[in-house]
Formats: sequence, structure tokens, C-alpha cells
Amino acid sequence: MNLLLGAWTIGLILSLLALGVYISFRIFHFPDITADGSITLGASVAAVLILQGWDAFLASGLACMCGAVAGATTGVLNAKFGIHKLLSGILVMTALYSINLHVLGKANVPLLDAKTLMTTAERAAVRLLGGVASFNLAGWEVPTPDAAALALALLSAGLVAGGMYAFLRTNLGTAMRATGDNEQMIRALGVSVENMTILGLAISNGLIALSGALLAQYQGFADVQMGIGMVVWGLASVIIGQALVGEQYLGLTITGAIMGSVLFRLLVAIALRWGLDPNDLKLVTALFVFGALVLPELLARTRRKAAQLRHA
Amino acid sequence: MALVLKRLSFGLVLLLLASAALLFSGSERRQDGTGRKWRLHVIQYNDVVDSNETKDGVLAGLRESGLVEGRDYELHFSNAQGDMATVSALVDSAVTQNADLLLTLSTPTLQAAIRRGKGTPVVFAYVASGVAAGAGASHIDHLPFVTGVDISVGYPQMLALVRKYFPRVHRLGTLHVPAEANMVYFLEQFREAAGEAGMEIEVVPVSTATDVPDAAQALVGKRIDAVMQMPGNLVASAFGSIARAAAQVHLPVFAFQKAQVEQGAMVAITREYFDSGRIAGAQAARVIRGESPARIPFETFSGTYLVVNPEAARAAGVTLPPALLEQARREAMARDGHR
Repeated sequence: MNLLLGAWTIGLILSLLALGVYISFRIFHFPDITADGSITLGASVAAVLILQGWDAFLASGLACMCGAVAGATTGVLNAKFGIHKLLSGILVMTALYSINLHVLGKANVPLLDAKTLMTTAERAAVRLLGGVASFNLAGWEVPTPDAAALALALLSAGLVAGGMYAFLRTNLGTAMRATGDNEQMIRALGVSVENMTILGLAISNGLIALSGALLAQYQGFADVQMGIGMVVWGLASVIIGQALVGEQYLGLTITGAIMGSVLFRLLVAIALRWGLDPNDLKLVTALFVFGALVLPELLARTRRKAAQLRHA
Repeated sequence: MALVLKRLSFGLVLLLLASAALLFSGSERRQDGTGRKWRLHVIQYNDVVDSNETKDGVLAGLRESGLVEGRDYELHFSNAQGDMATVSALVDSAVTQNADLLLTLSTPTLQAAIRRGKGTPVVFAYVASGVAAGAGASHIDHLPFVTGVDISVGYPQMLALVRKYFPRVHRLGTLHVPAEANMVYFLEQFREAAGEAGMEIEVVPVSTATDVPDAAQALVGKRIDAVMQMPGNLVASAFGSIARAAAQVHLPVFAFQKAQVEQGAMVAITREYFDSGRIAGAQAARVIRGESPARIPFETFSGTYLVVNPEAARAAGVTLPPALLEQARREAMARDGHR
């Protein structure tokens, strides 16, 4: 049960990363690898502020803002200086490496006895249930703190997804989506493509930094190397999500990205639980992702074939 | 609405299936009473030589304690392969399998075990400082369910050796990776030890393996008498280029990892990772025998041994003193007898 709750919680926390990547990659077709830096930035800012006695909620909010600044910088490099999309992301990611080290002050900052969003939620849940350390759910023993962490992750992912859905349907959000689809048209309508890109990347990296802030509070430490390879997981979640639900409807694609992220962490957890040789973990993960990608297409094709046979 | 549900159904079914698979491959029944087998979970962060040597040491320490694998304890291994998001899942997985004791190697796995392990006893190794990692306020005053072994670098031994055999060496150069938690801590110690020995340190920072050759050139271009490279993951994998840069300008190279002597270091005072692991193994055995980790203080392991490479010395234009060669030979023999 612990592993299941843990996998869901991390999946939901990293779904904010997936949603951020969704904005840059799917809406703007911008392969933005600032993410590797901004997730660590979010973790670092939140960790350091919390240790200085800031309220964890405010600290996470400020972490999100810092991520947004990083994303906006990538946008400015691309839109105002005409630097290639990939390179602007690489530049900011590289710069963030040093910045993160400065923010943290050292390579690894423990948050073990600090008052974080997670510990606050855990304590509140225990108090709410009258001091029970675990409760029984259909025969399974559920530790209260884990349930609280999951609830918090679910709430964050739900709020962010809902907010994103609402925002992308406003005039501004619609213009933003149109920018990614057809730059020339949106320019002809009098919208500044540059500003849209900068705003979009700011939102994207703000979410990614928030994801990092939550991850640090959940895992109990911020480490300057925690962002390495994260953008790949984010992309994988978005693409798995797209394979699951298609890409016609906005609400569906947003839900899909979250599902993709959770599914991904579940698969990793299953691989671990079944006692896989640790050296094979990444290979098996890749195979899982491959399966998730081709399965829907395969199912659709067999269904079409079956339909054709019936008609014939 | 129906369409939305239909579209989501595939994903939802997959999520449910995966969750069910996890849930039902879930916990085994915990055996109660005395004489039960302890489930030990060895959790590594990455797959590097030093970490693996430590792990072997831990296993040896457990065997030497008189406990028998299969009768007294069973072992499970996992490794995050350097992926920070997997670290928590490894700990969760161990807890789900009713682990009785977590043996963590490296700082991130130790921290995840403390945060996510629900009070499961933890014995750590391959960590520069348990206190810096947040496991306690001091070696005695620490979290009640955690104990383990810090590893220190042999700076005092090394600097004493340099003063004795190479009295003209005063300015030392090293590459530094600010992103590695251990290295930051080691640099502090290095500065302190060098200050006491009346020597100076030149530091060149480096962040990726591809930067190491350039950084090494920059380092040997400074006014230094010798390179004395601090230990670390990144510099260990790119040590060859440091040694090459030093050899070009005939600077002697001192190091703290054994493999680096084969890659061109002249003298190394290397940490015995294996032995540091053995101490952690012995601590784990005490926990298995019923002692509370709260009463077992953290230990700092400072065991080192000397390795020399006369060929690298010749390349740097240095003749190694016979007394030093003799000492290295004696220590090598002692170690062979020991294992």
C-alpha cells in the first residue's frame, strides 16, 4: 500500500512538470529544456526559504514565481534575441545550474525536520482523524500521513489542471494556443507572437518549479542534481497521455498528461516491486513506455479490421 | 460526456490495472516473535566502484558478525541508477515489502529513507557526513532509528606524507565539483587540513565531464607545486585528463582514490571503502541482535592505505624515496593478508 500511495503521490507531483512541458512542447512546439534547471530551482528556493522559517505555502509560491522568471528568460532569449529554441533552453538551464548552487549554498539541503506543506498536511490529517496513525480501507491498512500527502498532491494537480483549463479557454489563453498552431495567422490578428511565447514559457516553467518545490518537500531534501533528465520524464508523460486520450480536446489532453505521469510512476514502482534487476530498470521503463505508445494504435487497428470484416 | 468517458476509459483502465498489480503484489505477512528472519534492504543511489565496494564491505561485515544469511537475515538490493525521482520509490518499495532494516549508500538515499521509511531502522554508509545529511545534531545525538558510518578523506595523512618526503611542495591544486554534496564537505576539510599544514590550495571548479580537460589545463597553468585531487564521482570518471594535463608540465599528482594511481597519479592515500562498509555491516548486526540504533553512535571511518606509482613519478621528474616505496609495499602485503 505504501508503494502504491507513494507512486501515485510522486506521479501527481510530477504531473505538474508534465503540464508545464505540455504547454511548452504541445502548445508552442517549443522543446524547452529549461525544465531540468527550473525544477531544481523550484526545489532549491522552496527548501531554502522553508529552512529560513518562511511559511511553506508562501515559499512554494515564490518558488513557482522564480521558475516563471527562468522560463521568461528562455522566452526572451528566443523571441527578442532570435536564439534557437533549443539553445535558449540550454543556455538558461546551464545558467540555472550555478544559480541553484548559489541558492542552496551547497549541493544538498536536507528538509528532514522542517515544517513543509507535506508535514503540515500529515499533521492536519492525523489530527482530523483523532490521532490515528493509520486507518483501514477495504481491508488495506492505509497510513494516515501517506494518505494526506496523496490528498495534497491530488489537490495541487487538480487545482493546477482546473486553472490551466480555465485559463486556456480565456481570450488570452486561446490566443496563446493559436500562436503555437499558426504564428502567421495570430500575428495578422494583431497578437504579439514574442510576448505570447515569453508568457507561455513563464507559465510552463512556473508549474515545473512548483512541481520541484513539492517534490523536495515530499522527499525531504533538495539536491542540485535532482533535475537531471526530468524533462525527458515530462515529455514521456505528455506523449503517453496523448496516446491514451488523443489530442482533439483541451480538457482531455490536460487529463491525459496527468494520467501519463501517474501511469509512468506506477510502472516504475511495479518494476521495482517485482524485484527487477536494478540495472534493467531503465530498459524495462523504456519498454513500458513503448507499449503504452503503440497499444492504443494497435487496438484501434484491430478494431477497424474487425469492423471491415463485418461489413464485408 | 459519454464521449469524454469513452476517451478516458483506456487510460483509467490502465491506471486501475497498474494500481491493482501493485496492491496485490503488496505486502507479505510479517513474521512475529523471536528467531524471525530480518529483511535487509540495501539501497544504492548510483552504480559506481566506490559505492559497490562499500556494499561488498557491508555484506562482509554482516557475515563476520556471526549472523547467517538465509537463517538470520535475507537481503534485497535496489539501485536508483542516479535518478533522484526513483529514490523515494525505492524506499517505498522496501517499506511495502516489510523491510526491517534499510542499509542506505549515499546521501540522497539516506535522506529518503529517513523521510519515507516510517521509522524503519536505517544504517548508512558511503556518506561524507551523516550530520550534514540531516540525520542528527552530532554523532551521539541523532535520530533514534538511524546510525551509520561517515567516511573521511585522508588529508592529514597525505599532507604529513608530503611534508616529510616532498618538503618543497607548498601550493596544491585541485578540481572541485560544487554540485556534489560530498565534495563540498571534503573541500572544507581539505582547506582546514592544508591551513594546519601551512600549505595553500588553488581550486578550479568544474561541472560536467566534458569540462574536465579544460579545467585541468587551467589548473596546471596556475602557480602550483603539485596537483592533489580531492575524491568525487565526476573527477573519478574523468581523472585521466587531469593526470595527462599534469604530466605535460611535469607536475606530480597526489590523489585519494585507488583507481587513480593506475591512471597516472604518483601517490594516493586511498580510503578503504570496503572496510568502512564492514563497520556499517557490524552496526547492522547489532541492530539485528536487538540493540536500538539510538544507542549506536555514528562512526567516522578514517582508515586509509598508501598506493604509489613509480612510473607516474618518473613522468613528473620525481624519484620516489625508498622509504615511501617500502611503506607502500608493507601496506599492500598487510591488506592482502587481511582479506
